[in-house]
Amino acid sequence: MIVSLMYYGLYPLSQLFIRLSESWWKHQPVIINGKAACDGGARSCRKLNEQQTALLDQWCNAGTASQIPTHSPQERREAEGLVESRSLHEIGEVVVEQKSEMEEDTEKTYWQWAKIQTAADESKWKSSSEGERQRFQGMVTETGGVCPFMPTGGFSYHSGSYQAAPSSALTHAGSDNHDLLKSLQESQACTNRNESIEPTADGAEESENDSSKVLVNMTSGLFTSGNVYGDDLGTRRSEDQVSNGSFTYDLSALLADNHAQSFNNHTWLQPLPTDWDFTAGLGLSEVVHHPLQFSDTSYYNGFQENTNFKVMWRVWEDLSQTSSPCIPSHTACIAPETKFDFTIMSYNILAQDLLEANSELYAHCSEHVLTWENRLQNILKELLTWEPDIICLQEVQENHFQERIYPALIEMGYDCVYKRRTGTKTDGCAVCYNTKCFTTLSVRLLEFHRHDSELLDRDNVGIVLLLQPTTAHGEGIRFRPICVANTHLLFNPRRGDVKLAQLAIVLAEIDSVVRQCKVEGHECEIILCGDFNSLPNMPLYQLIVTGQLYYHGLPNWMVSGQEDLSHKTYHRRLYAPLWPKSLGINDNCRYYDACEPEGKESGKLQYNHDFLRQLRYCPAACVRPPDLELIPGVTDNTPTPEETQPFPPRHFRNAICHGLNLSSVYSRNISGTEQCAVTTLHMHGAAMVDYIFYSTRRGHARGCDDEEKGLKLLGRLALLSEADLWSLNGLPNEIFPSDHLSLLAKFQLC
Amino acid sequence: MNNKFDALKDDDSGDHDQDNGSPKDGEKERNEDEEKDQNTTKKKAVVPGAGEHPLQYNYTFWYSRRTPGRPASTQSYEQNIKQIGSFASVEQFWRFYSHMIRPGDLTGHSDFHLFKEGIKPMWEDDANKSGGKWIIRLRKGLASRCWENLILAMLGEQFMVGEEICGAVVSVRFQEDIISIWNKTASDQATTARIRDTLRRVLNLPPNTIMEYKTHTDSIKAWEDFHGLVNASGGR
Repeated sequence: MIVSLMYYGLYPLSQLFIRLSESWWKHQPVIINGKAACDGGARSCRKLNEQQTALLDQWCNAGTASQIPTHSPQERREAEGLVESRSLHEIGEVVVEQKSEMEEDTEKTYWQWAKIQTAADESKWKSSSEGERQRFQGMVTETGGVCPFMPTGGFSYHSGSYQAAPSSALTHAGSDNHDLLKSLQESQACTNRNESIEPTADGAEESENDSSKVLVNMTSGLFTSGNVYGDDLGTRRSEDQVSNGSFTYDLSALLADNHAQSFNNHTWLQPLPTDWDFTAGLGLSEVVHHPLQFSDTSYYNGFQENTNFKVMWRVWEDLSQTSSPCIPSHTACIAPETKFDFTIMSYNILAQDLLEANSELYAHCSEHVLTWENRLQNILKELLTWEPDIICLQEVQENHFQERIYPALIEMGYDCVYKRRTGTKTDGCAVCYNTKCFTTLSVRLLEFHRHDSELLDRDNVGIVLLLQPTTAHGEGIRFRPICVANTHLLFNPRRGDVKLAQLAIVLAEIDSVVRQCKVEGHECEIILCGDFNSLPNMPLYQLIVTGQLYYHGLPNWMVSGQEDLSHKTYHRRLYAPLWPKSLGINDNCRYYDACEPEGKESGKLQYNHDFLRQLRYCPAACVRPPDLELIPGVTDNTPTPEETQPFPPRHFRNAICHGLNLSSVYSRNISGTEQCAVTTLHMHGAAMVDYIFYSTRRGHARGCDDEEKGLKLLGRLALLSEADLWSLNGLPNEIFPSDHLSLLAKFQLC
Repeated sequence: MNNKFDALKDDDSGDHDQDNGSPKDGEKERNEDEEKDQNTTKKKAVVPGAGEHPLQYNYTFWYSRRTPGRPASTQSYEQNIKQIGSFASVEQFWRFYSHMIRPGDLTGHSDFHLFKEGIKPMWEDDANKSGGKWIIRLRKGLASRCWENLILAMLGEQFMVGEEICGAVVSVRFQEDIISIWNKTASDQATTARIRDTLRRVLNLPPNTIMEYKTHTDSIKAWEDFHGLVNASGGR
């Protein structure tokens, strides 16, 4: 009797648990063991299947006479409870206990935040078996480390920690198993194994029981995460169902239709990055049970407040599948060492001097949050957490850089290039790169201030570096160099003219680096990032991503779109020339000296438009050809001084363009939502003004051949909405140390 | 003024089939030589002057104007088309260009042609016979700017299609102006696509501008149908 009760009770459960297990708890060592056992065990379990009843009998015996008394009874209780729809009361209590412990640990708050990211990301990369093994080791130590906290043992720890893990774990469930069929098969195999294999070897029993225990936890984790993370990933679909229903409801729904439920979820899931490489964090549960979020004792209340939950961290968005349709064949045909993966961060860290000079912008912040020491520590923690291979910082105060930031970064293995703003400004830009990954080929420090120009009288600066990726595989492969440009354009919302001129200097400098590369026989990739003080899809942004801008008559304020000044009666507008000739930059955002005859290597005498026009009225061109027949109305024109500009500017020179094919890593909205993503927020508003642009191949078919050489965007750290940030008390706050968010992207260089 | 055929005789590269064409072609050329006898006094090929910026190819400006009232025919087309001059350098180009009226200021039914030296602006020219052209119709007022941009791109070798470009034409008509660029091989889609993309870029065309590709065989056929002629000759 008991045996059959156990059987009927546990069978559907285990089936459900196991099906979810792979995707949900990949980094759980037991599951990994289980998966490893799957391949071998699958065959044997089929064999044993026929003797199911007998084996089940054995299994029960083994279960009751378990060699791990602390876990096994609990698991049994838990399983029964679930079956009888008594739901997760026990788990709830356990979690609450655990949470209260966590609350004692408040001083870890910041670290926890960082670790959420770490842990969330870790949980994603597990497709490769190597990754699994690392993960396995990581979790063993982690569990060991955390267990002492929990009076109820490992169990509560697991159930808690799911809350942090799932968004990412769930996210990658689909992609992890490239086809669902395969995962289905595997789960089936696991199920079989669970039913049958355990009794076969006494020695295996302990781990097998462990595994079912984890699976029980999995279920609780599922609901938790469904609740908390559902909308984080744009899965509004599941949100209603999950948040309205009790656990009991969810469980029954899942039990009734677990295929549909779990695999439906997969459809919107994003794929996983394969080797996102961060150190293992503390227990995920620590991070999730943030005292700010779970202030009372009711487990359920905690869930109802789940809207606050999502702002606790930023989600890593994997774009490697969507960005290139032919990735499978790619990975198949190209050896891994022909690719170079790296990450780049752009971060306006808010100079303390500027913070203090504009304190009205930060009136919503507590004193503590605004102290430099506090912010510095958080900035460094953020850098430590993500360990970007390239860091582009803006608003880096010179003394802070020299005294604190630079030494810290050197210790972390970076080398840095710094450029202070001109004049009396105390802050500037910095580009830092991991010396293990890159060497510098050239450094260009840009000052936008020109003494001979009324337009360019602002103190902004930029840095353009040419970095050579270094390979661990020796000299065999030489990757293309990467031109990394970092700048912080003028803030003034009314001076779009200045912003455009400053941008032109950056673009011309990048162009010059690219040409220099070409002269040396290399193609070079481009990454342009920084704080552009311009909104997405506004003219300045459009110039960058579309390569051209018709500016004639454009109101100055509209260039950046930071403020809508259309109500004003008078607008300063843009007319040609946008910048003085003395700048040496033409309408194509290139230096004039770069316009000399080019393409010598192709044997062609090429001249671009500007160069040809320069010669228009040279002395040799003003003499009437002696053999030119005079045809009235056709060849009787005389070049006149007035004709120096034969077409008035407003008809002719009304566009600027550039030839660098650039795309933005971030899009205007948060993925899958209508919410605008913002990169900066203070008392006067919130907006996206920071960007990472990268060179793409336009006009070429995206085939799986050599043309695919270049940069591929693999992923990015999602931004947040204004509402999200205000729910965290705006910026800066206890978590984010600047009035900007960091931008982080991962690229693959082929 | 150089006669283009004389210039070709100096040219041993054999780029153009007319040099060693069929007897029939030779006869045709002779006829044309007679027609343009007044232009053949100078026989020296144009070369870049000292210190000037040489062009990849030498080019020739042509001008044509339809005589009012007379039907367009082979005869009248050839009679109405006139060589303005050839040049070999950027400076020489400007020398001609600056002394020419902007196309937007031309009157009547007129065309400027700018073709590589040795290629006649005619469908039947050996360089053109299997070719075609991109056509862009412009509302009045845009022709001068677009024409200048077009020929600067052509002279500056911005099209990057090897030897494919033959020349460019601007046609001033009653209600609109038409600019076109001719290439050698109408069937080479990669080339024509590249030319189209470069045109878009260099002309700063409004996004909704319609660009049409027409093979010269189609043009000839349409012309024959229209005039009921069998042995047609003439281009835009």
